[in-house]
Amino acid sequence: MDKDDKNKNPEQNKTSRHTWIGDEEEVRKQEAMTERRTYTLSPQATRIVQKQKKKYSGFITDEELENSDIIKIEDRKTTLVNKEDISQTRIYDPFEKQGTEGEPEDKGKAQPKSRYITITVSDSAKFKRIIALLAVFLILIAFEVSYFVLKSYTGKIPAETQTAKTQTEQIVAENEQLTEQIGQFNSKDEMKELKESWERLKQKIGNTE
Amino acid sequence: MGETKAEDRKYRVSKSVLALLAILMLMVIAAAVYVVPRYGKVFSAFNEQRKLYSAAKTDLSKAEKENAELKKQVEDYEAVKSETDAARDEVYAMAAQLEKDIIDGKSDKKICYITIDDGPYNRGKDFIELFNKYDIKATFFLTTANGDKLPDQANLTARSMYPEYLKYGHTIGNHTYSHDYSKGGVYKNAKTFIDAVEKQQEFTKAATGGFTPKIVRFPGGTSMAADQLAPIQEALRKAGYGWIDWTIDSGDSFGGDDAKADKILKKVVKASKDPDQKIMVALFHEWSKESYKAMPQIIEKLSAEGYIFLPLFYDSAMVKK
Repeated sequence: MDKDDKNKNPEQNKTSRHTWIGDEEEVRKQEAMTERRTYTLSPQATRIVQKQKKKYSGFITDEELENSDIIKIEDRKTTLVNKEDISQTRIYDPFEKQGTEGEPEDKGKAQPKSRYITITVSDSAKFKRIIALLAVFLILIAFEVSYFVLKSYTGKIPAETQTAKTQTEQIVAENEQLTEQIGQFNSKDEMKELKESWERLKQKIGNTE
Repeated sequence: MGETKAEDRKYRVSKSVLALLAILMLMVIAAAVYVVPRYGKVFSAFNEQRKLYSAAKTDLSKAEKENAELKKQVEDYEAVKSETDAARDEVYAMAAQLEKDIIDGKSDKKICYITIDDGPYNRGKDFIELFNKYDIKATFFLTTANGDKLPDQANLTARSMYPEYLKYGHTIGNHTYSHDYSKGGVYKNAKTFIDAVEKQQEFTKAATGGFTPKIVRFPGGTSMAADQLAPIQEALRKAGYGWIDWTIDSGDSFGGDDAKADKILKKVVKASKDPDQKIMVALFHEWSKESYKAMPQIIEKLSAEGYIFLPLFYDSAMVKK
């Protein structure tokens, strides 16, 4: 959307976009906005963005943004360099003391201790790298767990193998006895024939009554 | 002013959690340094052990399967044997009743107990085949006096013959271990006789897989015991044995012409005409070729006379207790 479009619908654009300037804790404070410093890590960065002091409202409209005396960064290259250097993490601290232009602020005083750290990942490529790194660690952990599991099983298996062998020996001995026992039996046909011969003998003896 | 973009992700993480994560990652890296060079060896050892275990389990599974099949076979055999034994016991019960009826004069039927002494020897199989052919059952009084090696039967041993006698429903009696009726032999006193009986009993039990005969025949007959007869009989009674002599001696042990087949036949057939021989106990010897020769005609002639051929049993009226 360009400026012309915005002017066509001033009402709509008045509060159409809310830009958060600070974190949640900062939003609640009703203090004057303080100067925010951008620390450039690259020698190429030459611009410092300075923001006009005004009463902190929690959000800023597009109009206010355009009408402010914000120095727009024209050096695209510088901007990109800045972004690369500091895009991974930006730590917002609620500065109480106002600093002068171009000079790093003294952070020694009045930094409230927080138990939490806010991590911002601004680049999806970086985010994917973090995920990939975590995945590598998980794989490593799985690898190590598998090592100890294998080692544990390797220690236990010989005893189980020996148990199986002992059981096999016992059963084989029993099988030999059973085979010998079966050998002492007549064949099933012979036994049936014997039974029939007893039946015939019974008939020969007959009922004496 | 820093720009926040739509794809920016903000994560609020506790510092202690971050510290723990960092420590965990360090530990993972340290463990990886330890594990990686050793992993191959552990993996090989695991595979080796697994193969051995798998082989042992396969063997066990095979043995168990075979065991189940063998047990099933034994069960089947025992079921059939049980039915056969039940039929046999019925015959014995009916025979005991028939004897009683014959003795009481209530029945015209006749019973012949063919007894073959002194085996296993050289004609055990021949007699068995002959009896099977005529569908009759006999009693074999066995002794170990001949040793284990059987004459004229190169592939047979005395021990191996024992189950053969039982196979077709014939029965085995105890003819003492030594069959020594000389002076100082089994008839020395009751103890020597019982020892000879028990020794033969052990041998029979081992050779047959558990059969223990309860009928004893004195070597040479009870008359050989002389003055030891009463104590021997008492000892047998106490040990749970019965004993039996015979009602007709075939004469095959006499020697000379009397031991010839035709004389044997004549003697036995003549006895069958005797009214006192309605229950006949006929004595033959396994080593007698002439008895074997005469046996078919003996069976036919006695059958024609109405004789039923039975094996001896403990509850028979002919067995003394």
